[in-house]
Formats: sequence, structure tokens, C-alpha cells
Amino acid sequence: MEKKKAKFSIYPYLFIAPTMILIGIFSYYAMFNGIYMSLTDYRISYEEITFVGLENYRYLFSPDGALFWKSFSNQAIITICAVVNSVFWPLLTAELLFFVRHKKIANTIKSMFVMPMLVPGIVSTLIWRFLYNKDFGFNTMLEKLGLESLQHDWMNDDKTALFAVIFMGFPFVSGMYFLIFHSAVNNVGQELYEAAVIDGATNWQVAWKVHIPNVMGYVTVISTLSLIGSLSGFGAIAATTGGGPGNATMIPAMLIYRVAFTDGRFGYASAMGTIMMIVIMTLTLIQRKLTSSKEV
Amino acid sequence: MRVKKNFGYFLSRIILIALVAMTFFPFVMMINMSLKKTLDVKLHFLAWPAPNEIYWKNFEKAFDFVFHPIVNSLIVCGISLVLILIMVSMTGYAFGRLKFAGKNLFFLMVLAVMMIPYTMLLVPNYTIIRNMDLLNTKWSLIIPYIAGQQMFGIVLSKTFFESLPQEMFEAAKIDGASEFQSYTRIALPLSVPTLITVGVTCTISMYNDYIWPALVLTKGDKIKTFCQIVFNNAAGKGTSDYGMTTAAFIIGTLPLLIITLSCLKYYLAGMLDGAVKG
Amino acid sequence: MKKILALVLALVMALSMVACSGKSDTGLSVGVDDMITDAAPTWDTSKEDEIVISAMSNYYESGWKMMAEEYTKLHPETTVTIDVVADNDTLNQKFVTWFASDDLTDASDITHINFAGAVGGADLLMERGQVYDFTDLLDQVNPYTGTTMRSYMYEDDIAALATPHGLAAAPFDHVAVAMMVNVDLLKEHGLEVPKTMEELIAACAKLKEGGIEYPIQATAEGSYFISVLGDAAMRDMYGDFIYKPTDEGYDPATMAANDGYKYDPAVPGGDKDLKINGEAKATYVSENGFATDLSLSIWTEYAKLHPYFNANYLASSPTDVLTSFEMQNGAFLISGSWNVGVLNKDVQDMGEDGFEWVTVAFPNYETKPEGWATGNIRSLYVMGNQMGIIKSQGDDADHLARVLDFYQFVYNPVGCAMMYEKTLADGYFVQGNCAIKGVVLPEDVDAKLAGFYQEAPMRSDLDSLFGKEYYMSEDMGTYREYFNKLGTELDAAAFMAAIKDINERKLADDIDQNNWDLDPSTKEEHK
Repeated sequence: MEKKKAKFSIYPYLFIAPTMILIGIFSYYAMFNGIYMSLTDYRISYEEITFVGLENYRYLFSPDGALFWKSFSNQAIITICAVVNSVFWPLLTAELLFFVRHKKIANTIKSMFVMPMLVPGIVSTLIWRFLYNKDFGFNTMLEKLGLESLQHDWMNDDKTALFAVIFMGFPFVSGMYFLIFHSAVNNVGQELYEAAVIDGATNWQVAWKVHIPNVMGYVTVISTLSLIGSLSGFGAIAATTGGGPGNATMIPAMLIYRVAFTDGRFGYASAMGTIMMIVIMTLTLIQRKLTSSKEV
Repeated sequence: MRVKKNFGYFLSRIILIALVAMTFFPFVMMINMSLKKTLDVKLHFLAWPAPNEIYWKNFEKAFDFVFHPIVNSLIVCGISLVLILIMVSMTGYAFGRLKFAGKNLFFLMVLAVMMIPYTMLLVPNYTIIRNMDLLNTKWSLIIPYIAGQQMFGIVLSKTFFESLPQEMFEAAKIDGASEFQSYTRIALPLSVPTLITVGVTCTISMYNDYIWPALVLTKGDKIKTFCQIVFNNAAGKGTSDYGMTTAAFIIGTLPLLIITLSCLKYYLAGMLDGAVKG
Repeated sequence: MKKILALVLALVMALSMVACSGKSDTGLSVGVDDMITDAAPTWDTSKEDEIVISAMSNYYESGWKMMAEEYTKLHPETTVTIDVVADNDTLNQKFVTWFASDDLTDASDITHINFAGAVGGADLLMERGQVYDFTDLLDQVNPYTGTTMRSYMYEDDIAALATPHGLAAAPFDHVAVAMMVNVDLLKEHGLEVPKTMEELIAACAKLKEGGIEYPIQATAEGSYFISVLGDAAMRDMYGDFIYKPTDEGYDPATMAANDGYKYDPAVPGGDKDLKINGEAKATYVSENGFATDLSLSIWTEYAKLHPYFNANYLASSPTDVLTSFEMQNGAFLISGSWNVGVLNKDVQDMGEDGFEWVTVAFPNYETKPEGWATGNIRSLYVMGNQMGIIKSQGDDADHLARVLDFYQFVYNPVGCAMMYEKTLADGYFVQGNCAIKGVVLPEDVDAKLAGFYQEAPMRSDLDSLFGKEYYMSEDMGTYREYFNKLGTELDAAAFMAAIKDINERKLADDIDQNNWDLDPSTKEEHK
């Protein structure tokens, strides 16, 4: 149909109005408020707000603010591992499951992987915390297996704390990513699979040469999702180590939370938050650039 | 087709079983811990109590402890959900099918919200809620939730509405339907599966949140949400009663399990669709 | 599959509901009937209202909840809600958000007012009229007992809680820190309960050789032990930092104890009422630095014992540490009197797996380190719960009347006895001896609490002089990183060098916040 000059209609704007108003207030206004606060020296006990310009930022970039930058290295480790784990394990499992020919068993196993998804995150986190307890939990099991030398105070030892945090949630299969890969692998197409088998391909070759190339698109999507997810969250660390022992598991978000709510230094915390926001935005944009060059 | 039962066959089966076992292990232990007295949990961690030794008191205490919070969580999720679904479908429809000036800009604005870190929004949002005099009410949760949970749904519903064939709407226009009627009579009913997906995802996300409720719901355990209670009493300096806490975990997970299991088919189908296209 | 699942879920829920039907009455040895309950209400009984108490999780938790229920039974027009707070950080956060503006309507009515430090301190809030001053209430007749509150409280306790602008909380209980000792475990390794600090160090060494990795188990409160050493070393210096009549901020009404004070080791409690001038401390540290000889000596002494402490104890969860002690993974438990109730119940429940344990005060030095003050070792022995009243509804007299009424309902010999008994019976934490006369506790618990008694409380005001835990909140992690290495990889000098920046940063911030000019006698503007 020919596109005539569009008549101005108020309808679309009414449709999107509630959404835009809400995010206008709770996301955008809040964000600018936060940025404004980062330019003040506001603390909760103050009665008035004094504008101090870039003082908070200067402090952050001076040696005194080094911890904030150091915590990014922990964040980097955690995020890289999170992204790798989000891709590797679900994909591996989806592949393994694909080769289970018995439909009923395959479906049962798939359901079994899906069930733990429905348990609230804080519950899973805390169960892992209990398991990491130095007097019972994993240590009890290690003892029973005679591997007492491997016992550690997992969350209190700075050599193992970061590892413990990253390892929480192993084997990382139960989740959306697994379902996506599972469906992707199954959708590659029966004909391709059969053709490969006729050509004498082993299962291994099928997986490597047939499936993987076709699911690369999903790999990038999932990488992006898990990247954003990992950068935005600090609930797991808040509920377990609080950033400790020492600073072994400190991440920027946790630091911001602590400075804002233990010291009441909203101005300084807002400055850190603003920087974090810039970092996340930059990383996400880079990710997009990289993935847009790899179309599905 | 003859299946070659070679080493690879067995290895892959073993790995698969191991993965399932390791996935389940924490939750199996959770059930184990809930059946024993705390002292037994500490001293005999791996032991399973005999059926007549099960310490039901954990569940008794846990039930008292989490009953109101669970009800609160469900009410908040329920009300928020209705509002979210209405807004998500309206906005998704507008972005997906309507033409208007600034459409791309607005959509970009919606997407950009996802990049604002959570910690940055906590204090300003608290101040806003307080100024609206809504602290310690369910609305202090509901309103920010409907503001923050829409993003995913909008993307999903926009994709869905875009995919609807134009002919459907042409036919309706010829019959004299207004834009709004096109939306309610044609697009909306078709989008139900998508909306279910969005609904379940948002419900899970809202039910799980504990950081925000910890700030705005401060008056008494009776008005707190389930995950907040768990966070308060178990995550801080450690709980004093492992048995009761794990029993509480189990009781609190049940509502979510029931809701999701009943919509599982739609939920999974929708998620996959969305991920494929999104 | 789905149907079976749904059935199982429904069954579990039904079972839980059946199991908890039927609530019993209190079942205690004292009850509301032992109080006078027919006094005329001073509020409007036709109006409904709600009082909110923010109480720390696990501390008297079930006691508070029971008192709330009993009170509402007595006065149905007032609902009493107990808001359980997870931990110190959360309560700090609450104070920060409540006082973020002048509108306090969302603040709780009764809470641990000592946490007001996050927003300027209870004294400042009383001055502003935001927190209630109990001074007059103590001399009024408590409708539930027919006597005044002051008549069943100790003057020393009341004085300990008083500040320049009033009394922000009434005495409730005492809190102390001491050592719980597993006598059986020591016997196994051929040791007896140490009577001197030197014996303690030797015992720890022997235990470690014998395979006990962490002879000393400490909860986060174990850091008080460091303050104990600091107090032992610097007791004779408090006089240097008190408010002098020539100082700005000197208030003759409340600082009378400062006048003519002289350190005398024969009078253990002589420094109880001193008021220390923060600016004087800041001045001292600015001139002398943190790593003085005395500071190094304190850390050196502590470093002798630190390697025997459980790893990262500052961040440990108390339950985990108690568990370790109960599982006999350590012989000494440094913790507070509040763990006595739970420990007692657990060990009794363990039956044969249990062990004999006693509470002892920290032992004295046979030979005190050079330069330290004379006098015996003292430990923490302070007022425990400081429940104050935030005037959340401003000048609403009706609301305040109800809040005060509930307060008096709890703060009397019968009310406290009910709180204690209920809390102990449920296995929650009781902080220590009750500060209200006439409250009697079960005999076995009493015996275990005896070891906490101190003839005089220690002071920890000078902790910042040797840099102990003196940091901005974001430096906490770094401080602990170095702290964990004390005594093993870092000796005292290296440790102090490592935390120097952290300490100085905090010092600069303190000076900036208070606008000190480092001359105690001149006046400053407060921000």
C-alpha cells in the first residue's frame, strides 16, 4: 500500500505514555538525580546540599580512591567466568542431551534441569553459603572421602573466597541459557544431521562441525545477556561474603552499597555509581559492535 | 540406525548424570537440613533422619515465620503483574505496529534504561517513594516494579506484534475498526502466550527481589516479602536455626513452583521464541 | 508428573498448617498477672494506633514478640509490631534513611538508640527534640508496678547512659565480653584453665602443636580483646584527653567527673564517668602519628595471640563460630555474654557429646609489658540494650503516651523476667545480666554469666590512637586484609606501616567533618 503522508494521531503517544512516564521518573529522573548528587558532598547527616563540582571524582582518581578501581579487577574475573560458564556448560549439556536418542528419557532429564530454576535466587545463594561452612557442608563430604587436606574455610580464606563465589551455582546448567541452546541444537535441522551421519560423521564431528557453527548467533546473544546480568548484580556477594575476606571478593557495586548505606556518603557513592554506569554502557556498546559483525 | 556404544557413548552418559546430580545436590541437602534439628545439622550433616525422627517443628516454626511474607509477596506480584502486562502490551503494540514521530528514539530510551546500574537508583527512588508518602505500603514495591520490569516485556511484545501479518489489520480497518479496537480485538488476544511468558518472568523476578524491599518495608515482619525475610534473618550475620531456615526456604518456594509449573509450556515456548528473535 | 507434584506440594502446605494450629499460652513462671494492670489509660482508647519496635534479630526476639502480644491483649486498641532487623549494618541503614529528612513518621517508635551514631548520635537527636528524654519518666510512678522506675534501677547504670542533653534509654541489661573455656578439651591436652596471659599464650601454642588449628575461636566481638589490651596499656593516659574547663564544649553539668581526675590503679572504676574530647585525640595523633612506641607494643602483644584466632574472625558469622566451639574445634571462645544462653542449651542438648565449660575473665599479665599502665585487665562491661524512643509522630501526645506505656510494661521486674525466661526457653540470645533489680534467672545460666562480671568496665576511647579499626567504610576490606596477616606475615611495625594511609585518611575526614582546628580551646562551626 502506498505510504501517504501520515496523519498525526495522538493514539500512539497515549499507548506508550504510562510506560514512558514511569521510566521517566524512576529511571531517568533518578539517574540524573544521582549524577547531580555525585557533584555534591552530600552526607545523610547534613542539613543542606553543597555543590562541590568534581571533587568526588578527583578523590576517586587520586591514590585515596584506589580501592574502587581494584575492585574492578575482581569484577572482571567474576564477569568473564560468568559469561564463559553461561555459554560452556549449558551448551555442553544441550549437546550431550541431544545425543540421547530415547525421547522420554531426554525429556525427563530436561525437566530435571529446569526445575531448580524456579527456586528463588536468595535461597540458592544461602544454601551454597551453608554448604561452604567450614564445619559442615562440603567439608564434611571431603572428610568422608578421605580428602581432608582439601578442606578449607571456603568463604573466609582469601585464597579461596573468590573461587567460592564464582563456583556458586555449579554446574550452571539450570537456567534459561540451557533451554535456549537445547532448542537451538534441536532446531538445526533433522536433514543436516542425517546427511552428516550418512557421510560417516561421528557424534563428535556432528557436534563440532554441524551444531556449533549454527548456534553461534545464540552464543553471542547469551554472552551479552550474561555480561549485563553479571555487571549489574551484587546480591550474591551481599548475601555471602560482603566483599570479604579483606577485599578478596569486593566488587564495585558492593562498595557503592557500603559507602552509601554504612557511611551515608551519598555524594561520593553517587560518583562511583556514575562511573560504573559509564563503564557498563561502554562495555555493552562494545559488545553490540562485536556481535553485529557476526550476524546469525 | 545402529547406535555405536563405544567409550564416548558411556562417557557422555556418565557426564550427563553427573551434571544432573550436581545440579540437584544443593536442593537435596536443603531438604535434608530442613528435616533435622539444627544441632543435628551441625554435628551429623550428611545423615538422613528416619521417617519417624523427622523434626517437623522446623516446618511449624517456619510456617509462622513466612506465612505473611509469602502472602505479601504474592499480592505485590499479582497487582504489579496486571499493570505490567497492560502497559507492556500497549507499549509493545505501539512500537511494533504504529507509526509515529520519535518512535525509534522512544524505543531507544526504553532499552537504554537497562544499562543504568541498580545501585545508582536505590537512593533516588527511595526519596521519591518517601515523598509520595508510600513507604511501608505495598505500593512502595508495586510502582517501582512496574517501572523497572517492563523492558524485557516490551522487547518481546514488540517483536511479536511486528510479526503479525498486515492483512489482519487491513481487514479490520476496512470494517471501520479504530486503532484501539484493532489492538483490543485482534492483537491482544493473539499475544496471550507472549504475555504469559512475560508474566512468569516478571513474577519470578519480583518475587526474588530483596534489596529494594529491605529499604522501603521497615515496619515489622508482617509486611515484608518472603525473600526479604530470608535475606534479613539468614544472610546477615548468619542464622541461628539452620533447620527452620531451610524449612522456610522450602515453604517459600512452593508458590512460585506452583505458578510456574502450571504455565510451563507457554513459558518455555515464549522464552525461546523471544530469544530467537531478540 | 505435574499432577503428582501439585499433590505433593499441597500435602506439604497442609501438613505445615495442621502442625502449627493451636497456640499455647506463655507457660512462664511469671506473667502479666503479676503486674498491676488496672491503671487508667492516659490515651484515647477509642482510637486505634500502632507502635513499632525495631529489635535486633535474635536478641530477646521471642521475648519482644511475646510482650507485644500480651500488651495488645491488655490494650486491644494499640497494635504492637516487632520489626526484626537482620544485623548492625541494616539498622545503620535504617537510621540513615529515617533521618534523611525531617519527616520521621516512618521511623520506628522504639529501637536501639545507640545506632543513632550513624546520623549524629542520640544526644544530638535529643537536642533537636527528635528522640525522647527519659530523665523525668524515671521519677514517675510506673503504672504497672506502683513504684518509680528509678527505684529498681542502679544509679551507676543510669549515669552511664546519661548524655549532656538527657537520657536516651533506660537501663535494661549488661553486656560483657570474656572467655568461655572448654575445660575438657584442655584436659585432653594436659592443660588447665590459664590464670595469666602468659599461660594463655603457652596453652594456645601447645594446643596448636596438638593439632587444634585455631585454639581461639572468636566471633566478631573478639576485636574487643584488642581494646582490652589497649585499655590495659593506656589506662593512665585517659586524663590527658578529657575535656578541661578551658576547652570548648566543656559542660560543667555533665563533665564534673573530669575535674581533678587523677589515675589511681586502686580505684578500678575511677575513670567510668570521664568525658573524652575527640579534638584532643585528633591533635595528639596529628602531632605524634599512630605508630608510637606504645601503639607498637600493643600490637606486638596482640600479634602473639592473633595467629591462634580463627581465620577472618571479624567477618565471621556468630553461629558458625559457636558451632566450631561446640564441635570442640577450639578451646577458647572469645565472645559476649549474649552467647551464653544458646551455648548452654546446645551443650545440654548434646548430651554425651557435650563438654564441661566455664566462663573466665581475661587473665592478667604476670609481667606487664614495658610502658603499660599498672592495674588489672578490664574487659567490656557496659549497658546492653539501649532501647530509646524516636518521636516518630512528632508531638502527638496520644501516640507518645502509648509508646511510654508499652515501655513501662516491659521495663519492670516482672516484664523483664518474662522477657528473659521466654527468650532463654526459645533458645534465643539474652545479652547478659539484667539491669533491673529483682529479676531472677535459672540457676545454671546464672552460674555461666558470673564469669563476665567486671569490677569496672574498660574504656575503648583511645582505640583510634593506635589505629584500631580506624577507617572509612571503603577501607574496611583493606584494613582486614592486613589484619588477617598480623603475627604471621606482618609484625606489628609492618602492620602499622601498612594501615598508616587508611588511618590518616580517616583522621583527615574526622577533622574535616568536625571542623576541628586542633586546638581544643577554640570554638568551631559544626557542619
